[in-house]
Amino acid sequence: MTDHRTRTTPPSRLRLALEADGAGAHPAAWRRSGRPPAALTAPGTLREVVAAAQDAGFDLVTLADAPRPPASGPETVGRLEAGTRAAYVSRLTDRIGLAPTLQVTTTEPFHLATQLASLDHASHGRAGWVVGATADEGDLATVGRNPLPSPALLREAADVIDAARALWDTWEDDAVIRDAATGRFLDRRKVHHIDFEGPSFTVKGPLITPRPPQGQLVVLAPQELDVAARADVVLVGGHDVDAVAARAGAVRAAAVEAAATAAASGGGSSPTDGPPLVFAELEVVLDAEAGASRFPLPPGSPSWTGGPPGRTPAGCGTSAPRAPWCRC
Amino acid sequence: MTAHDPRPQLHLGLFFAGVGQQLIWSDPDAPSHTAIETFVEIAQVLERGLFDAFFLGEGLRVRENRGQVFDLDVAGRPDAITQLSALAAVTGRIGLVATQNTTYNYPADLARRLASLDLLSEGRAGWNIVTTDNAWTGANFRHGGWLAHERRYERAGQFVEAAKELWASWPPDGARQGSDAAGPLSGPAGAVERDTGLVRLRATATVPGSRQGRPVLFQAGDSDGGRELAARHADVVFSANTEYAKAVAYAADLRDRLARHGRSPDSLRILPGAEVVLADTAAEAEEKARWVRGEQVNGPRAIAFLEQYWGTDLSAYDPDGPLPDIDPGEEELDPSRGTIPVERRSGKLALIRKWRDQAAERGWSVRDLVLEVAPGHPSFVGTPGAIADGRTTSAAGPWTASTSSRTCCPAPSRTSSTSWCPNSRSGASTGPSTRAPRSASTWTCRRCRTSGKPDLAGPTVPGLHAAPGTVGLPRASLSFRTSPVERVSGARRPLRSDAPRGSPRAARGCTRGGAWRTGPRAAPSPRPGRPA
Repeated sequence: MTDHRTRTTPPSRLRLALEADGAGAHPAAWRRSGRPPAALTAPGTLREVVAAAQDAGFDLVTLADAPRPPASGPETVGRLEAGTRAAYVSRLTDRIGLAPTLQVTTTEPFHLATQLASLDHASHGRAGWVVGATADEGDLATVGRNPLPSPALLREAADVIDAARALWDTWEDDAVIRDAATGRFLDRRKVHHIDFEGPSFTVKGPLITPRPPQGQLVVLAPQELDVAARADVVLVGGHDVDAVAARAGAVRAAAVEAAATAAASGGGSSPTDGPPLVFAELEVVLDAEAGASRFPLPPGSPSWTGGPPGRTPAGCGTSAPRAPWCRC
Repeated sequence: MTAHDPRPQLHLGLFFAGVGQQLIWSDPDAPSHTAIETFVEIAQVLERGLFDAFFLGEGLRVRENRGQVFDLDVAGRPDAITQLSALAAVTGRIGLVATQNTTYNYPADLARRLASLDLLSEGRAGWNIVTTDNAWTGANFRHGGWLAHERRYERAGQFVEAAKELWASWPPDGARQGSDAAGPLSGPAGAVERDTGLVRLRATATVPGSRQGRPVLFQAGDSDGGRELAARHADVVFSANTEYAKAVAYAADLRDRLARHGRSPDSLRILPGAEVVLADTAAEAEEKARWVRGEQVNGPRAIAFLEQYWGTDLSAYDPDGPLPDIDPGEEELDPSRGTIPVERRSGKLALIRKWRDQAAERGWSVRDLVLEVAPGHPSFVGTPGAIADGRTTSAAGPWTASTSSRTCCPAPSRTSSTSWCPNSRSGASTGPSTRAPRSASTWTCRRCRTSGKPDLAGPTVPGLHAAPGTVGLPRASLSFRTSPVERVSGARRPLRSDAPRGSPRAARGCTRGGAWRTGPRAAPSPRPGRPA
């Protein structure tokens, strides 16, 4: 899909993404931000943060999200829906990628694909999607869904990615012909149904939005979802360099193996054209003095071990190994 | 508008349907209907022209004709909330109204996205509440066509109640704007729960209310269920009743319903839709109106219109010849061409008989008939001055778009409120209580009793709650050449997209220095379901 896919040597340029949700990953970050509480949900704050990231040369901002508000200790912090935030900054920026987190389990896949395609149009091809797959019981209850066992969750994540990618291809590039001589606006042979059928949902298609400028949007997925073959970027976490490197290696190896298996079985093309990029998720404290002791947690807060705010990974639970950014 | 109000205020919104027969695409100068630049320019021109609202339509399935994608009309449009969120950043005063469906959305999810738009736009969001009942649209969604036709408004009512409760659960943060970061956070009052069989959720608001409290609620359905929903919940109705007598009856009916729900007659604004064709002379305007109508009902579209009713291929028939001599199928109308007016949902054969009689009596061709019966007749045709002064003739009846004291709306509301009082900006006003008439000279707020010169360019316009029932919503579908927008604003150039046309899109986002490179457009991948 991207040029790095066809290279035989790894890309040399460092790609930087900024998770720009809220005031920062630390639960008390907003109190250190010097802004009043209302600024947490104010458009001006969002505008400033994303503009600063663009000016600093970041490739991408991601916007974490979940159906329920993030808790800051005993307090509830406001958070706008990520897709609307990304759209809001689309006309205020011109280079940086915009990748909101949209959940596969608490949205309609058709709306999700439409929102993202529209973001890509509004930003002239700078849209990405951080695949969120919350299985949190409270999150699912916001849409009246019952708890989802892990295998079904992973399947649904894969299915929603497949359905979204198929929907983004439903309008061919030259489907709009505006042929005044025959009165035809569209070449209807170039606008397609997808007839997607999975165990938890079906989608007929086509998308109501014409093909996005990028064609396919950049899909970023956490490693835990096991969708590396469907993603352009896999997000891996870890407490130290060795752990991150090991996970990145595992992702790449799995992707190569999957491609080989597909080739051996004579199967069709994978949704992406090569192994995904791997982004390491790091929490960075920029301060003259080292140590988290500089930033005391608010009274009543659960212990904080770092990580993107509000992320509830698939493996998050009392019995599962705790991801470094899991706050459950 | 009323005897005791010497300075009535006309409110204007613009409805951009985005797709369908009324958009004229055949003009080579017509801008892209999907490019963001087109939307930005429309919204900014409207704002300069002091319009109150920019209003986007929605349809959740690409229209079809007899099982195939319908190829004659403009098709394809962005998600309304996403598009309006982008526009929120480049506008400052105009209301941004998204049409959104209650059948194929989740209440908490949609309420949250609308509340987000409301905060991002600093209190300028509106929601046009619509329902869908057909399984054909449902095929794009998790539950398919799950909702019985007669229950769609029952679901809508419960949906809206849940949304309103979520919005009310976290009051606006404005009062704490100045508080420091050490203070306590406010937060949602608690979870909203429903489990009724039609609506099921347990959700907590994730955002505080905006400065207008919650999004303005529009409703446009004309059925009994739609009118009940409006009477219970809506702040504004966008009415398709543009014939004067019908509109008077409609307004009276709505006011009866409001009373039954314990609401004041003034708590609901009626915005009749209107199509406007403007030109520098009356003759030119008439000529333009004929051109617009002729483009909207060209030969292929006239045939396709009848195909929806006949239910069969009529492409062999001449649009300029007589009506098809074959009998129509007996099945009801196919919903896949889009919304079918309530009065045409049944009794198709009787309607066709009536059309045959009319055509025979008057010697009409297919196209003559469709020009007469297809929706979309302009309500106002003339020069801007003549329309503003109420000097035009209108097929719709004795309407006037005048800002004088003549009635612009049937059974005018009894109050004369208009724009927001600037002093009420931080309040959570969602009711019609703090407004002052906006006029060319001065305003006085009824609540705080302050008065002053209006700042027409200032940030005091957007309150759509404030609209008295005197609004025409000209449809953008007149094509941009004839759009009222350019005239209202004084801008003489046609609306035109700055988007490069026909440029290779692969270059976008990929060539700028430091850009997030996503690579060239992938070649269209194999169609799903087809062996590779």
